[in-house]
Amino acid sequence: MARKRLIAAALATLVLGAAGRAFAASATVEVPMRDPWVPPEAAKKARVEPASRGATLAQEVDRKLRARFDAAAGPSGRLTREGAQAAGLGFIAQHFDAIDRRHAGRVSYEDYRQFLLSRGAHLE
Amino acid sequence: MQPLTLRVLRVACIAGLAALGACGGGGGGGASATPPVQTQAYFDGTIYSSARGASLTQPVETASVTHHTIVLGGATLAYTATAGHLTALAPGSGAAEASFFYVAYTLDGAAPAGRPVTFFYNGGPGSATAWLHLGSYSPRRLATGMPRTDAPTPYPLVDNAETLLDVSDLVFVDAVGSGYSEAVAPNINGTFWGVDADAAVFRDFVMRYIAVNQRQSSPRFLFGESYGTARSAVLADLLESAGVEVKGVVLQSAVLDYNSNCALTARLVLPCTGYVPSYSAIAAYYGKASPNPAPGALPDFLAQARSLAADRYDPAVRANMAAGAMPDASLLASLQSFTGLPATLWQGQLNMAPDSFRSFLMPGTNIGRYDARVNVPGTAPSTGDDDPSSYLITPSFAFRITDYLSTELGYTNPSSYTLLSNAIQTWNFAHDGRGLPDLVPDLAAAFAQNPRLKVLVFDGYDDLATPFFTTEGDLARLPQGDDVVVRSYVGGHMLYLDDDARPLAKADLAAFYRRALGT
Repeated sequence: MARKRLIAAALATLVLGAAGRAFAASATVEVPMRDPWVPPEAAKKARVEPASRGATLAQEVDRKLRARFDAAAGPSGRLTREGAQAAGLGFIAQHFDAIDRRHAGRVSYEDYRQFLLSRGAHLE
Repeated sequence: MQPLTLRVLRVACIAGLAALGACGGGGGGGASATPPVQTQAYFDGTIYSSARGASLTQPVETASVTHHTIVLGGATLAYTATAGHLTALAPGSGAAEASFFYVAYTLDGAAPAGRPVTFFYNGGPGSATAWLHLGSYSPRRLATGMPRTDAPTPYPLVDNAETLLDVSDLVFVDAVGSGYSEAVAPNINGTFWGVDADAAVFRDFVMRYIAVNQRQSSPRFLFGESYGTARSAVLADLLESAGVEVKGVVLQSAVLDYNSNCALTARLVLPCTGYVPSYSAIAAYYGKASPNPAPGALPDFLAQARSLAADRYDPAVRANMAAGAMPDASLLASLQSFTGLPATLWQGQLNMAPDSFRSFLMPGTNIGRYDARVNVPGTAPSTGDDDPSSYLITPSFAFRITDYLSTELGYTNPSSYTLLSNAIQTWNFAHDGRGLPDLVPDLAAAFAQNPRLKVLVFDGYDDLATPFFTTEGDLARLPQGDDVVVRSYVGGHMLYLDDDARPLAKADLAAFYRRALGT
């Protein structure tokens, strides 16, 4: 078994150059390079409806940011600076004072959204 | 197995060019905030595996350090190369996720605060970053001579006059399960073989690199190729969200929506409209368009090809796919004059996939997928790697990478470097509720969090993997005002291998960085 593997490894490392001359390599190529590519089963899952753009893309971005916020905030729907930091949302923690315009010590997704809009984000 | 660290001076002083201060670590420094690290070779005895179920139990953050010089435009730049591993840590818990192999090139004597750092990665998914590392903008590159096919191999490694090191520090990092990168238990490599998990662990590598090297105040850039551009879109959003601002993203041969490229979908359910201008560019390269445009007229010719594709071909091919409607003779005649394929071929196969185009354009000649200018006699083999622009270059990259790491960078490892793993076969392509990923919303989310973000896109006209017109269509979905610049050149997927395109792209890069940095 070990011997078999050794032979396979030796074969894998003997490669043929463009000039037809063999030279040894210690890098492995397990599959041909074909990028991008998807396996046949995944390829059947292509979206058929038109791609989002304009308002639908903005809504998609809004949903994405909201889902991330909600996952970190939990049922309360509110995040403190420390809560944002602990959840890995460093951006919200860094800009917490600007987001927390009511100085409540806790921010909602709407607070966050208004902050992004004020900086020019396309969310609607 | 304990890693063995030993110090040698041989590597740094091998060319006899190293500045006195850089050789052996004494003196020097200048404006640098951190003293130069002494040269050290590193024999890393860890055996790395690309198997889906593999993982390491004890990751080690050790690296070789070597000092080098390169002459750029008459000026000598001294730089330090660091090759080894850093461990990505899970946010919150700090648990080790994966041990990333990277090679960093940092300019000696530069103050880190204003000095950009750029993270490079190839795609696949499952590819190591040796292509960008030894082909594009690092201080050393392989002289491939592409699209020539008669260059002697293995290609020689040469100093790279187009290195981006004069502009930015450079970090080339291998994805989990490729190169010498591997998951840390209880994770396995396969834990990170999906769109979301892969981007998240790259985020954690970037944050680890910044923390360990104290680069918190350095402007950050991302440079991904092919699947690496999909990774960049997700990664840019995740980094912004984590509070790690990204200044700029460079997309080399982008695939931003797997649902817009007809070659990625089963049974050609999508129209191949996005490929028609690429077919036209390639026909023009081979002198098969009629009339064939002079080189200077290529942009105008391709503007017309885009119009043909969008305004006339697209409605016709959709009608053909939906109800079998036959295209009119004038469209078929136009397709023939632009793409060089006979009207009768278009009539029988209106939704022309790129592999069909490759087999029809030059009977008796196999033309490349990554770079259709590369051609060899014969027909494409039906199995394995049928792309001469890929299989002709692969052996040299496979041969040179480990030799270079060991001989020039002082990093030696007994395991095989996995240039291409089979991760792609079991990759989880699902993302945000879709079976195939659409990354445009991720890029848009990055812009939403950072309206100052800048994106530079490189396209090769002769690339039949990520066609430029498809990329333009994907980018057109972004809101006006998002700062995206597209630069297109004669060349393939790996545009940077072309000796004419690389200097032009390097000038574009330098201008892009200046603009992003406000300098």
